[in-house]
Amino acid sequence: MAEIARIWGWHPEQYKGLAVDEKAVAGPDEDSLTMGYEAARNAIARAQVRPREIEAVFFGTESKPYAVKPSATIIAEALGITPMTMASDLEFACRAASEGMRALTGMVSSGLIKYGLVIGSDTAQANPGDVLEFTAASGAAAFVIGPEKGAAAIIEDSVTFVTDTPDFWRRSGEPYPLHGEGFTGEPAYFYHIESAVKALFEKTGLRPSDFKYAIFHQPNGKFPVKVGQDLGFTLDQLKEGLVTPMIGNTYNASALIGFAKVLDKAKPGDRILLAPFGSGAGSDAYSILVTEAIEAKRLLAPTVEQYLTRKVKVDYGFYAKSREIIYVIK
Amino acid sequence: MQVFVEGVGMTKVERHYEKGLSHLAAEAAFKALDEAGGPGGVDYIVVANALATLQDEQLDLGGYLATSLGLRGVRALTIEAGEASGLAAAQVAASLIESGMADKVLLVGVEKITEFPSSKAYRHLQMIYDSESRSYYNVGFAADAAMLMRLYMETYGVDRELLSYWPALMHNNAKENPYAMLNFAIKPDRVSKALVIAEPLTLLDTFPLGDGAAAIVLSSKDSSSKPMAKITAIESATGLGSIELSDDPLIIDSVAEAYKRLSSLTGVDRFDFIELHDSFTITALLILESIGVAPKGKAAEMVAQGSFSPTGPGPVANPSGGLKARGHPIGATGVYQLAEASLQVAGKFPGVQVRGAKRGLVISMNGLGSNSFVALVEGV
Repeated sequence: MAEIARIWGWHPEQYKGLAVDEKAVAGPDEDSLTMGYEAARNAIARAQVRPREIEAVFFGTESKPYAVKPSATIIAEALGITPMTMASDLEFACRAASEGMRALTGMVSSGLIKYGLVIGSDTAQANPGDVLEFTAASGAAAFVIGPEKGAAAIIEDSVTFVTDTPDFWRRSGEPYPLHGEGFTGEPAYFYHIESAVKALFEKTGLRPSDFKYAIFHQPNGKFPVKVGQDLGFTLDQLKEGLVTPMIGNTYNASALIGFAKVLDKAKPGDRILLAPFGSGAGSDAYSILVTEAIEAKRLLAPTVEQYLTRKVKVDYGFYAKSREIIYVIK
Repeated sequence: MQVFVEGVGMTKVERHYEKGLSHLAAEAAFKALDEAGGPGGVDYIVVANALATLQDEQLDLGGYLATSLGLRGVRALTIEAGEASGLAAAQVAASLIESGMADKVLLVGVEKITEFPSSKAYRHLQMIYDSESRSYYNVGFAADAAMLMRLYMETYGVDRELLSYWPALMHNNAKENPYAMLNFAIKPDRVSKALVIAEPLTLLDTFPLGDGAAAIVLSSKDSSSKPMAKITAIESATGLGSIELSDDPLIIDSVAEAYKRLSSLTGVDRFDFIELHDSFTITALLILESIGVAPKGKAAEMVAQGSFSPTGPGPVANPSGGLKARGHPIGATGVYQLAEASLQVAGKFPGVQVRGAKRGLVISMNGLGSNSFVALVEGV
């Protein structure tokens, strides 16, 4: 953060209010596809399913390498899932992957498919010099959704709440998104998450005290804590799933990496609230129950904590090159 | 001058994302009209607004508001004098009554500034300064205030930290004001540590961007039944509004002149409170010194000592929280100040109520004083 502030002449205190200390940046040979592939490989290892058993691949991103041509097929092919599978890219700012997760629960429940793979992955863009650059980060998370038997956690119930709220957007052909500043807060992030979570409470009769952990979309370190506390959760319920202070906002992976980190720690019987948010705007709220199967699966792939500690600090020049903020004219 | 205040209405200064100009104006106007016993007898609607043409792409706001407020047929005027639009419109409204052209006037100040990201709002706000000497050379909105602040500190040997007591006082005053945008307290030592806008000026030295509307029903003595306050003078003066042309940039010439005119007209030079235009910490201090309630170079120290605090010797400065904390819906601000002053002398202000307030001074200006207005509000 201090490096970004130094380069653009921001006041050294500027980024402190965001409660983000560092952000993860994709390397020069990485993009949302390669990160998504790596996360999916880990998810499949933990799910212990054969790739061919997966019959739907949803790739939620707002930084896909191709504007036209599915990225989901590239990952599906690389993982050996093709050809007998659905595969498509979803777009809903930061909650596309969450929409995919909810769609897959329906497809699995209905018997249309046995297993589905959902990936949230972004190399989040930010206009160089914009305040967004402090938080826009890179990361991926993936989940295999399948039948209850053998699952590490069960999605008990879920709701979705969307409206047409233009708080953050990127027009076709534009390299970087624009945002409505304060408009991204109350009328967008807080209103949609609070509405979705309250609707879930109403639908299920559950209360904040019924959950061991709560994870919200994390555009910065401040918003998820505030929305959680506003909804009646305690800091103890929130802190385990809070990853943005260490890695920044990974957009589609933001809440999902937090969820993965909680799963690395959760015990059978723990109930988890998960509420991703996407600009434009909408939020999902899930009630998720951890099962006995969690313990054995944990060891089958690297934990989030291991990824968090595996880091190399880079300067702005390297970051600018990797994120193609500067490039060689060909 | 004897113009009576029959009713006032205000909306909270806020980012009113879901309300447009007419919605905001209606909220304030209906409240004021209710207090005044209904819309009957209103001859004129005078609308104060600065940015509707730019932010809302709306001309003749007065005409359209007259109809949307259900007052179709009344005479309407829209008055623009930048940040001083509110008091400029009040001067016009009072003149209509004084001249006999109207018995009852609905004065509405309304501004919608958060329709777009702040970069656009600031581009529009830049227009409050002289475009030929400022905007064309890209001197930013807060740059002049920052230069004045530095000049003040160097000329009078005043420490930055001493200037921080003004924002802290404003936030403290705004805490109980239900119409204030920033109703939380801050400690003085937070000010210099806040985000720097233009060295040495920080985010906490200036006002937040917010929308809002305030309305006042004004009437002549004849048509006034239960007035809550009276406006006994509104004076104004134009000035340089720039640092480099001024002989003494640390006096705002137009404020000094308008105030001189008002006090020689009324003979009044003591007030229980002042609602003044603190667009920046430095403008507040310079206004206090320009009207002589603080000696030159002493305003910051007096603020720090509590001279203008609600419990101090008085006059109390900005019991509302001022532009700093109540907020500054640009063209509407003067009407807010006048409405707050009326509530003060009526003993009905819902925030910091100055004990026994009988007489208040309202000061509004554009930019650094291209056009300044002062009004005297008294109890009835």
